[in-house]
Amino acid sequence: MLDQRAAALLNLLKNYGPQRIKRLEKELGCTRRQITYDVKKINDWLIDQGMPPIQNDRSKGLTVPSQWDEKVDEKMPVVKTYTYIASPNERKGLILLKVFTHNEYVSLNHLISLLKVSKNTVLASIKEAAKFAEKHHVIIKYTRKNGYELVGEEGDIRFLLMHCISEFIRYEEGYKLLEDLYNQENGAGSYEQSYEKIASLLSEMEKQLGIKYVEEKVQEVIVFLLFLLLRIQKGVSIFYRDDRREILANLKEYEIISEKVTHLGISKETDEHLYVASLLIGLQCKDGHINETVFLMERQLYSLTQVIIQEFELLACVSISNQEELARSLYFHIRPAYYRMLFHIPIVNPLLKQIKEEFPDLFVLVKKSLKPLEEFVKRPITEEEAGYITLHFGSYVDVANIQVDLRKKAVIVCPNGMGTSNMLKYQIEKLLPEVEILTIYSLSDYDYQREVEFDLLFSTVPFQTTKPIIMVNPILTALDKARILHEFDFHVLKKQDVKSVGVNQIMEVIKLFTTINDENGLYETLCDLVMGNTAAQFRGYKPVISDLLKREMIQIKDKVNSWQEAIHVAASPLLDIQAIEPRYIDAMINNIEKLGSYVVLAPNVAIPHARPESGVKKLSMSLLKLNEPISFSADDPRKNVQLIFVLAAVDNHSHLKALSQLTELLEEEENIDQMVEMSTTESFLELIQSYSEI
Amino acid sequence: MITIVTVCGNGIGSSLMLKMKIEEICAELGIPAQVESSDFNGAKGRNCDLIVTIDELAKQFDQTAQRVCVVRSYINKKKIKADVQEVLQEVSTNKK
Repeated sequence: MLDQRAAALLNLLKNYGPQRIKRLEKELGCTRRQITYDVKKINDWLIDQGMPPIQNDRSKGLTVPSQWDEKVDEKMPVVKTYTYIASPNERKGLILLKVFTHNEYVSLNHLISLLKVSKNTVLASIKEAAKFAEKHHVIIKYTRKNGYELVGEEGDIRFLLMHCISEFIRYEEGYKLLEDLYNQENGAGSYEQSYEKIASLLSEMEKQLGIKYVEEKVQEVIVFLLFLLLRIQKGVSIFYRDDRREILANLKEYEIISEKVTHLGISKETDEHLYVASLLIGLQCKDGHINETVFLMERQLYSLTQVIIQEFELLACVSISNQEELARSLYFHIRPAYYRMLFHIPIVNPLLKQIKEEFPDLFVLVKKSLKPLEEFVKRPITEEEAGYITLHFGSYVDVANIQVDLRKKAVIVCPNGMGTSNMLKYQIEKLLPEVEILTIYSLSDYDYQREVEFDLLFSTVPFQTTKPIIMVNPILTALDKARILHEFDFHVLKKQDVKSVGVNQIMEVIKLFTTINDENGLYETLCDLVMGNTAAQFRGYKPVISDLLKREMIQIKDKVNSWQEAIHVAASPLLDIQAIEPRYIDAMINNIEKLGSYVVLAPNVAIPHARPESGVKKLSMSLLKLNEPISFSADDPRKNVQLIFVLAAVDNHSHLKALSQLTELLEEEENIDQMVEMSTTESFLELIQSYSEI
Repeated sequence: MITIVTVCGNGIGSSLMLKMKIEEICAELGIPAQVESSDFNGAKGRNCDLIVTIDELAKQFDQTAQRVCVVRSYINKKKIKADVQEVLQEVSTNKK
């Protein structure tokens, strides 16, 4: 009997005349060995039929006998015009899918006939498949009793399968292979039929929900569902430890989706129902097809999204100007992602590799920023999900400006007394703001197990370690400092560009020749100068009011001639430290002219401010006290003011803490009365300090 | 749950203070509320149950379309409470 491959070969030779083996190798995708093997098979068969065999003619190649018997044709098996032999990668997937769906015993022979390759090739493919599966924590197990099986958590197994399917869809022959496999399990034509059924369910769903799904993902999910349904028929089912029904039940779209899931033949009571429903909820929507009513539903997720953005801003040291827009667009991605994570629904990101290559820094930062989401779901986020979210951020920030600026973690090893080591810690932290000192060890406490927790160490004594070590003296001299900076840059940051001068180095040079009054101030201003932005300063720390209203920010004056002048004077310390640009003052005045004297918040108190975009470079505040009241609104005596707090905010949140403390302070009318009477900066500082710890 | 938007000229200073006070007051009164701060343009036409702002800005809202409550101060909790308490309770009961 001729098999498909041999029959195809014979057919080809018969229809196209003599062919050289080399040519046939390419044409049929077989090896020379396979062809000679097939020729032998064909010849045996031909002789059986009473025909002369195929000859290998040196000048022409393989030749079929010239006198062809028409009767033989009828006996030849029908050959599909195109017989495709799966590639090694495809074989891997096919094996997994077969084991995943086949509801009877899967033996090696099943796989051989499925893949149409030799036993040894199948065994090799199974090995490959097992390796691939292992990455998803799934094991391919073979026992005599049960044949081949997938062992692992059902959620992981499905993740694996989603991966296979998503890869398959991108292969040229993928759909065809999937269809063949499905039809083998369920009878000819069943694939198309079931595909249509699910596809129409989904498009109904789109209409009812008023959204539009991403097409590629829809195809993926349909095929996944096809195979999943087979698996469910096989009797394998997902099971969630706790009851999660409630989480979904409150969703607006749940009802519609749930009904569709029931149509697929999955009973409402099962966890499987939840799984499939959340699979559908987790489908990505196309931008611009989003339903506003659904949007308002889940505040908690939305605020989570905002937190993620803020986290990202801090980590990446950028400020995103159209935050609101990003939050919205991100929300529509985070929402389905949340349900996917919650229910362990697989998603495959075909762009992942590219994203990681193109935006390595951004990817790392985004992944870090997603911490709140991970904590919320209590499950680590996959790289696939993080990749998608990276794309969202990527479109809102200027990627070129972002570098991974994560603080290096370090420890100090110091056998000296506590006083010296603390001094050392203080000095190093000051010298290298990019380093966070986790702890101080004496040599005997040093724990090699915990080396993974930090990036480098500083030590006063030499000793053996796997981490980069920078040797230091207990008390750092200027020369030491320069050397540490140098070593840090070259060994730890691995800076290639020798010429670029860092702020730290500039600081050290300045220190050599001058006395610096305000070291922090100089450092910050230099940073501004070098980096060109300021949002970097706060790294999650929200300043309290006494951090902002420092001595230099407070002025006491007898009188001014107009409220405009008052604002100019009050804001002048902010100009001096370059926290604002001159245009910010104009913006504040314009605001009052346009919107009225609403900045007078309480009798005697005004808090002028404008939008961060109007020229704020750094979060700051200043205070002007006038001995003689100035009117902010000529005809309204209630708008007379003696205390002017200028507020310069960089965003909507970093000044929150200080602002709430200021509110507390101003709420007590006695405090206002008291301040109006004050004549020294000290007394202001004292009062401010007392409200800084709330 | 009622939604409230506090409004000042810029949406970052006074309205934020007011927002904090309103949240405190709602908590005291046991009214579940979602409070947001906003600038004037952002609040106009916003879909919410109540807008809280001061006199100057209140006049610029279309009070037939949006419920606006006027407060005398952005920061004095006693005054704010006196101004909003009734409205809050009313809005909250209607919502139920």
